[in-house]
Parts: sequence; structure tokens; C-alpha cells
Amino acid sequence: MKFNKYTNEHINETLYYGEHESGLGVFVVPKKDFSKKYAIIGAKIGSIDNTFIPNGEKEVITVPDGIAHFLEHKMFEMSDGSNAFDKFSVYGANANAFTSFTNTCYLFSCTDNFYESFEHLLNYVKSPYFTDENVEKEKGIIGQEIRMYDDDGEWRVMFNLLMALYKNCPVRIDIAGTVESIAKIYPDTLYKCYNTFYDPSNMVLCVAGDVDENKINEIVDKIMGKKITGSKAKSIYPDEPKEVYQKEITQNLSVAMPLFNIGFKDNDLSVGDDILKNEIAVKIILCAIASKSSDLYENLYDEGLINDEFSYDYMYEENFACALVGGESENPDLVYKRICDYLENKKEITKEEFDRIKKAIWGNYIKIFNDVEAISSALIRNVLKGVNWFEFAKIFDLVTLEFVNEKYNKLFKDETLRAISKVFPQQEN
Amino acid sequence: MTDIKKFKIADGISLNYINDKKYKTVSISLYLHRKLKRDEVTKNALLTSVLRQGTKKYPTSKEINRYTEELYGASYGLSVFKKGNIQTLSFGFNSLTEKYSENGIIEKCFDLLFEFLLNPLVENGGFVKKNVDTEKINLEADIKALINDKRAYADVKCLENMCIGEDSALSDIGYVEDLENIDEKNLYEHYKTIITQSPVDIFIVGDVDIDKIKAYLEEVFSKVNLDITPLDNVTSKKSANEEKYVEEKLDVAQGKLSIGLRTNTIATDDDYYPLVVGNSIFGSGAHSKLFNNVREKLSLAYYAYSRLDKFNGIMLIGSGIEFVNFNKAKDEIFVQLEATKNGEFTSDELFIAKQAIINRLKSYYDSPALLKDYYLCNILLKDGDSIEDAIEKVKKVTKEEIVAVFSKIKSDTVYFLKGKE
Repeated sequence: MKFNKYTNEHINETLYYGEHESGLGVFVVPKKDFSKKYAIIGAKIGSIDNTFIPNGEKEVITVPDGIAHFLEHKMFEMSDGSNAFDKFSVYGANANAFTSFTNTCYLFSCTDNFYESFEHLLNYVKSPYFTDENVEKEKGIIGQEIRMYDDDGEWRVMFNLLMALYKNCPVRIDIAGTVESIAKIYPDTLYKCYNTFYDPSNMVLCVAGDVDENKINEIVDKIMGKKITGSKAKSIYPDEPKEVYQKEITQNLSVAMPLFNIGFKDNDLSVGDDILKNEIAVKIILCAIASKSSDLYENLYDEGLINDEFSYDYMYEENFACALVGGESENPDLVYKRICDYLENKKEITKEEFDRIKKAIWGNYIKIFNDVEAISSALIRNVLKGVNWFEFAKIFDLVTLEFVNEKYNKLFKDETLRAISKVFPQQEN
Repeated sequence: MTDIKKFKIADGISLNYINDKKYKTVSISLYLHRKLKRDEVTKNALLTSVLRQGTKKYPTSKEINRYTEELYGASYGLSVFKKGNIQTLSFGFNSLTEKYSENGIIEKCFDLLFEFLLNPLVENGGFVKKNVDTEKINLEADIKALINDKRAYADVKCLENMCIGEDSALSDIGYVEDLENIDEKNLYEHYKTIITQSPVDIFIVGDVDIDKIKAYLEEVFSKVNLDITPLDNVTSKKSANEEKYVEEKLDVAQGKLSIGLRTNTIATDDDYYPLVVGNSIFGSGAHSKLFNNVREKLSLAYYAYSRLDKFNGIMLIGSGIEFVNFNKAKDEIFVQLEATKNGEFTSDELFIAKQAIINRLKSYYDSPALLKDYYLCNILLKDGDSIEDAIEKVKKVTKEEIVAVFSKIKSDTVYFLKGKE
């Protein structure tokens, strides 16, 4: 593979990137003087990929909920009966993996033995080994992971919101699935998912740290091979109505104070660098209306309706997007009303807000380069979506006040796009 | 690798500078230490929340945040935490370096830090009543919110039951029942006392003009009437009680098992590193006995780990399990503890545990937050090891030393959070 070299003068950082002959996208950010090295490889398969045409077949199949996450767990199984963690441990590397709505990522960090660990990472992600026995065993472990999240109020309040916002999009389903859905997972379906989605052309690799890009190239050559299988994974996603599915969802859990999440369903989906452009715009809006520097935050706080936990987020993928604000309140409905009233009255994001917040967002972008993990994570998250993250500065400049206000009007002025999720403390009986 | 420079700003006030040009940020922390005491923990916790609400120059949180956004999103945090017998009030800033932002930005951050610390909003000889009243409500909510995180809740409950009457077990965010007796006047009086009498350690990680900052700090503190009492011993050790079992029922889907043990070994003891390596073999990480047996072999849990408190000689074991698997999980945990105590581990397990610890220690070099924390512990411990020395000591640990130090470990309290039938 031939690397392209990209140097960003503003921030004194260099990126090597290329597409390996196998189809794998490779991104390397050398960081001299850092002790820690971080590598992450991600496949475009997440919890929303539950309906697809398996590689080499013609018929569409629907797989049990939670299978991408189950697959992530099982990838650690090695054919010699060992666990992929074992070898990492010998190298002193710290390994992990996670599954999101749209991707599954495998990663490690280390200070010594980087190339050995790196080779092992590629190796084990290339070598699935599922047996009836090892699949069965995992059901107990993941069952406990699901139980753990069942008790997590903040997790529940967010998923209930997604269930309210989306009628059909599988983002409404818990990433790990349910105890019932994972009971139906067997080795053959895991292999089907693996063979469909873990083709190098559906994967991306990012490395940051004091590493040599040529050595990385050699190891990628050695493990990934050069043959392109040409399998392009294709998930089928259901149509999703524009308006929210339910206006509110309420649950009771053992929490101290009611929790709430308010969501804004963004139907204005895009691809490539526009994803990042939208993300920056919505972050500016959310900061202007819901951060500690905003009038709304100050009013709600002074009124005793919210506390320090009040925060906001924006999820943006190719297939779904939504903004959310959430926190704790004795009176979530009144918070919701105040927010709706505020948006009703707020005509636009002002020039002052826009300039000030843009400065802060730029600062936060630079801060990422302090940490090899933050660099690789931001990089892979973006490149998996098709965003050219190293062009952040260019994309950042495209975010104009006009664009921000266009977005503000579309997403935050339309009441049919809003829903609230609430988790209340258990009633004492 | 890390060169830490120490300066004395005044009696009881130190400046610690870790100069590293690789960072694009400057990380600043001011730590003000108090002895953990039942009658002031709540006041100290409340104080950081009240100070955060405004200063004379920036009277509201909104204005402060608008200002920090202008400073390229410099972040700040006022909070409390505890280590050993110490409750620390922490004032932190994280800013871009001047090179990536603008000249004078670090001084502006320090100015704001000292606005918080020395120039709070005051009315009628006290803090602003409205702010204190609001923060009392918020602190109460914060204290009660512990229950939202069942894993942390189980650990706290276990330690509470285990360390009755010990100062080190006091809550660092305080107690609801104290709040009714705190008002804007007595909190302000408390503030005036602690601001002059408490030892302060300031940390800077990054690349700054340290002479200029040192002169700046000397100037700031020359205006404060300091009368600082140095900290005495911050560590504590206690023998295990007769093992007790505590059970609590809540509306939960998963049971939380938390086991508190006395190791009788703290960070300044000669056998501390064998304890750390042994703990890694036993329960810290994917290579550990707990992970491989409780989780991988028996499928009882998603997580099972042990961790050490290096100030108080305590080991805490935690796991999330089905209610019915309580005995199975507990028994397996103790089987693995016994195995470690008996030296039933291979030279590979010993090697891997050391690798994991050394990797962790070396990665501190890349994290301003972890570096500050590590060297703050060293200051509190009086003679803690540098990262380099710690690595060398970890390398030298033998199996015999682990067996010896593990023989001192005694189980004290088994706590189980289960569901309501």
C-alpha cells in the first residue's frame, strides 16, 4: 500500500493514510515523545445492522437483536482454546472492544511491544472461531451485561427516548439485545454476520503514537493479504417516518431523582464531510441553547429545575440523527415546557454566540491531539462514517452562521420532531 | 522521563511543575487539603459548589462560562475528593498553550482560578444566600444520587459497614443531615478559616514560563494571611473485624456483590509492590484469576475485579451477578483468593501481571491528569516513589513476597445488594 502524507500546518500534526490492497482503510498519526501507542480496527457493523443479504447469498435475512455485540465478544475466542486477551497480556498491552449502533471496534494500547500486539490485533480479528460450546457460555456473561444496563437509569432514559423518537429504525433496540434475543444466537448466524461485514473493504484501521508507518504497512500486508474479495456489505434499513413515534415514554427504576432526556429527531441526513459539518453546526446550537453559558441553562438552574447534571449530545450517523438534552429534575415536564417556550421565542443563534462558541469548539478539537487514544477514537469514528476528519479545519470554516440558523430552524422549531423520556424513582409501597 | 520541579511559594504552599513540550495544553490544579472530619466534610463539599457559582468579577456561572468559551474553551472544575484521611478541595483548569491560542491565556486562567478561590461573591458578611440555598439542594441531590450507580453504591455501602468510626471512610461529598445547619454566614466563616490554614499544592503540567508563574503565585499568596498547619499522617491501617455479612434489598435487576478486605499494607510499606502485583494476578484485568474464572469459566458475571486503596490498606472486590448465584460467586472469589495466597500461580501469570502494571505506569507519562494524581499521592505520602522507581520495584517482586504479603489479607465485610422478591 502506498501511503499519502498529509501535514496540517495549523496544528503541527501529520497523517499517513492509504487504502490497502485488501480494501482496508489505514490511517496513522505519528506522535513522537508519547509513550503510549494506540491501535483500533473497526468494522461497519453495529446494532442497527440486523437485516441484510449475507455474503454469497441472495435472500435477505433478519438476525437476532444484539448479534453485532455478541459477535464482538466472541471474536476474542481463539481456535487453540485461548482468549485473545491472553497474548495481549503477555505483551503488556491493554485490549478492549466495543459495539455501537453502527460499528464494532477492537483496540489496544501499550507502551512496549507495539508491533507484536498490533500483529495480534489484526490476526485475531481475521480469525473467527465459534463453537456451540463457546457461544453458549457467552450467553451468561452477556446476560449479566444486559442486567447491569437494566439497572442503569441514565442508559434506560436514553434508550427509552430512542424508542420514542424512532418507529422502525433499529437504533431503538438496545445494543446488546435482550436475554431472549441472544438466546437465539448460534455459530452459523455469527459466521454469516462475520463473513458479510468483516471484509477488509468494510473496515478501517487507525493508529496513533510513536510508530513507524512503514512497519505498520508491512504487518498489514502480512496479515490482511492482497486479495480483494469484493464483498460489499449491504444492510437493509426500514423506512422511518419523519415525525416522532411517541411523544413520551416513562419508566420507574430505583433512582434518587427523576431523570429525563428530551430528543429532537433530525431527518436532514447527509453523507461524507457534510456529516461533520452538520455535527459542528448542531453542537454550536446546543451549546448556545443548553450549555452553562446559555440563558436557558441559567434560568432553569436559578429556578431550581435542573442541576449540574444537565447536558446535551448529538448523535449523527448516515441512517439516523438526533439531538438530545437531559439531566435530573423533580419536574421534568416543566423543564420540557420551559425548553419548548424558550425555543418558541428564540429566533436565531446570534453572531456573538456563534463566534464565541466556535472558538471553544476549535479549542476542544486541538485538545484531542494531546492524547493518542483521543486521536484514534475521533479518527475512526469519523472515517467509518466517511468523514475526512483531518480536514476538520476546512469543514469547520464551512460552518457559517447562516448554515447554523438554517439547521436551527429545521431541527429546533418543529414540535413534531420532539419527544421526552422520563425515569421516575420507584413508588414506595 | 518526567522531570518534576518543586518550588516553595510560601510555608505550606508548593508549586510542582512537570514540564513537557509535547502537550498542546497546560493543565493546572490547585489542591487545598483538609483533614477528613465528620464536622466539616459537608461544608467543604458545599463550598466548592458555592464558589463555582460566581466571583466578584464574574458574578454568575453564565458569565464565567462565556468567558472561558472566549478562552478557546478552557475548561475548569471545582470539586472535592479524598485520599486516605484527607479531603481535598480541587480547583482545576485545562487550557490550550499560548502557541495554539493567544498570548497571556495561562495567566488569564490563573486569574480566574484565584477569582474562585480568593474573590468569591459576598453580601452582608456572608456568601450570597440564594447561591448557598440552591447549592444545598443540589448537594443533597448529589449525595442521594449515589444510588443511581449501583456498583458504586454497593462499594460505598460495603466500606461504610466495614469502617465504622474511621475518618477515612467518611463521605467526601458529605451528609444530607448536616445541610440544615449550614447557612451563608457560617459557610463563609468556614471558608475564611480554611483559606488561610490549609496546605496547598499547585500542579502545572505542560510548557509555561515557570519563573513568571512562580513570581505571580508568590505575589498572590503574599496578600493572604497564611497560618498553615502541615498535614500529619494521611494513611491508616486497621485489622479485620470478624467477618460480617450485610444484605440490602432494592428494586434492581442485578445483584451487586462487594467484599471488603484488610490488606494491612499501604503504599509506603516495603511489601507494597508485592501486594500490587499479587492483586493484579488475583483480580485486576483480563489476565486475572477473577476475570478468567468468575467470568470466563463460570459465566457468572460480566465484571469481577479487585482493587486496592493504597492509603488505607484495604482491598475491595466487586462483581455483578444473578441473585441466585450469590454463594457460587462468593465461593469462587474466595477460592481464587486462597489460590493466590498459596502461591498457585505460574511464572507466566507473575510476568503478565508485572507487564500490565508497568504498562499502566508508563502510560501516566502521557496523561496530565494521571501525572498530577500520581505525584499528588507522593506528596501526601511524604516519600512516595517516582514512576521510574516504582517500575523498578515492580520488576523485582517475587512469588515468595506475594505469598508473604497476601497472607496478611483478611476478609472483613461481605455486602450484597439484591432485588425485592
